[in-house]
Amino acid sequence: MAPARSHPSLISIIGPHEGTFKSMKPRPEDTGRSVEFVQRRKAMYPPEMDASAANMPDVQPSELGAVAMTADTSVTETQTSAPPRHQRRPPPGGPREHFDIKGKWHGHVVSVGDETFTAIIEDVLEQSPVEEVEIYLEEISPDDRPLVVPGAHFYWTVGYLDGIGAPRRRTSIITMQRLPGWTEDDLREAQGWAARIQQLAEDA
Amino acid sequence: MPDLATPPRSDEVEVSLFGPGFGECILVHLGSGNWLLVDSCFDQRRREQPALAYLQRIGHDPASAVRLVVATHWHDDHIRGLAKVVRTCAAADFYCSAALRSTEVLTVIGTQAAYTQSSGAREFHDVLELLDKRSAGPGSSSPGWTVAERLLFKRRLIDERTESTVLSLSPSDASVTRAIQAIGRLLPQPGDSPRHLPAPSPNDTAVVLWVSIGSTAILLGADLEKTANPHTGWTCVVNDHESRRPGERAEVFKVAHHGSSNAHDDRVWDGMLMAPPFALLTPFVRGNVQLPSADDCARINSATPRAYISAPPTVRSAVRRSGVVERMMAEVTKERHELDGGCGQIRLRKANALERGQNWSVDLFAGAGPLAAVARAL
Repeated sequence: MAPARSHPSLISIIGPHEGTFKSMKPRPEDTGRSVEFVQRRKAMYPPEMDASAANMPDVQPSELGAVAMTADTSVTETQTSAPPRHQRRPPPGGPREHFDIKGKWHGHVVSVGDETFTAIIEDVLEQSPVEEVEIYLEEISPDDRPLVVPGAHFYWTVGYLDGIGAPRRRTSIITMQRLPGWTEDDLREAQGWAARIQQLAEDA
Repeated sequence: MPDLATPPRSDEVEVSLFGPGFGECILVHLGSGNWLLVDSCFDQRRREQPALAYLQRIGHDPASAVRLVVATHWHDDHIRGLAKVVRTCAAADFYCSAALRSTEVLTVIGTQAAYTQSSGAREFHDVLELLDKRSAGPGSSSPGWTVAERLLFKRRLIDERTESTVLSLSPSDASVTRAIQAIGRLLPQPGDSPRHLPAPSPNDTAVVLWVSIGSTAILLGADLEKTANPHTGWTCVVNDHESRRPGERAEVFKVAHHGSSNAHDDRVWDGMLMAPPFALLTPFVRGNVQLPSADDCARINSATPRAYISAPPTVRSAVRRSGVVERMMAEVTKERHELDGGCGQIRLRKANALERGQNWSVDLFAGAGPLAAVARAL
């Protein structure tokens, strides 16, 4: 029996370390791809095609928990304190919400069941043993469910969401990685590498 | 209490099996400070490759002491950290399964390397890339491909009478062909999304090794499985052995595929091993799979009283984190546990390689123990 949990909502935020929404665009190395790979892909595709990584839209924190910004992340929030009686206006142009990241993992899906999926996760923030986890599928937004297949990569971030005039919220975000598909050029490059290695063996 | 830091004498044979760490690896002392290293694993708690750390602990520099590195197959639990091993063991020749030699398979490895940061394919890519860069300078630089009955190493290291050889017994030609077809199907097509590659199955392309030092023979079973096809898997290996080395028996057996029943072949125990052999194995715990099972333990223990395992095959505990992270993880997960626990070591040593059947000494470190004791606890 699954424990009672808060309802998931959708939003598009994720960052490598503690920071604010408006500045939290992941670096290429945080997305599991080489810098070269990302640069090459960015040159090939319009920005909107790589929404999971290098081209994250800025998020208006007031929309947290209410609006689905993109279809590649899932957020579970738990309110941890009562809202303040007097709410202040956010500073114009400045960050209005702050995500205090407590843990972040990169993982890949091993198998998918009816209620959960099994994954291997590695800590991104600190050195700790690799873990095998069984995550509730409920944690994944309906739009993302088709992406939960063996081999799929994701990021999982947990932390506190603090906002001016808002209660502190315990937040868990699972971001299924969406990447542009392989191109003919990618495959030609891999074939070239294979030919080079074969030549190395033949020369020997 | 055995002393972990004492190196073997120059004429002493040693077989050390490390695991589970993140997988397993094996060291064999071929004589006079020269070593064979099979596969790579990673001790998550100590953050080190246990085989490299062990060599340094006994005063042998891996850069010059390791003469041969063999990767038996590309499953993540056998080659984690392999690129670092090859980089460190600069004097070693490197061999892997001939199934990886085809254009299709190398292309699959090439595509994965652009995307994944940690996977078997990525490790192989980094190894091959390293060898390619080394080809511009002196030293060993080309990958070698193992097939059935290929001699990988042959030297007189102890004295003029004592020859040390390493022979690969697999994969067979039929297995290589099957593997190329199977792995070739993983080749992405334009438009496919990058994904973590599944481990190729079944394990009929794994590299089984026959190590011979003087009169002492050692059979390292990798993860080779038994198949219905007589031209692949263990059936093919046993047939070749009976025709080419009739009567030769190994004293030590690294049990194949963590003792699973689908890797067991009675003919291996009857026709390739002395009775009773030393049987060494590591556990494997993933999802619902737990190897060896209670039945596996019973089967192996009935075949030999000299069976040892590097750690118990039980589910590990979860990594402990701060209270808030623990609470958050608990809300989202139904189950979580450390992938592999601490790394144990089984060490066998034999004083004289020329004497067949001589008593071996057995040293067990960390979580290693007799398989009979593990079977009682399951």
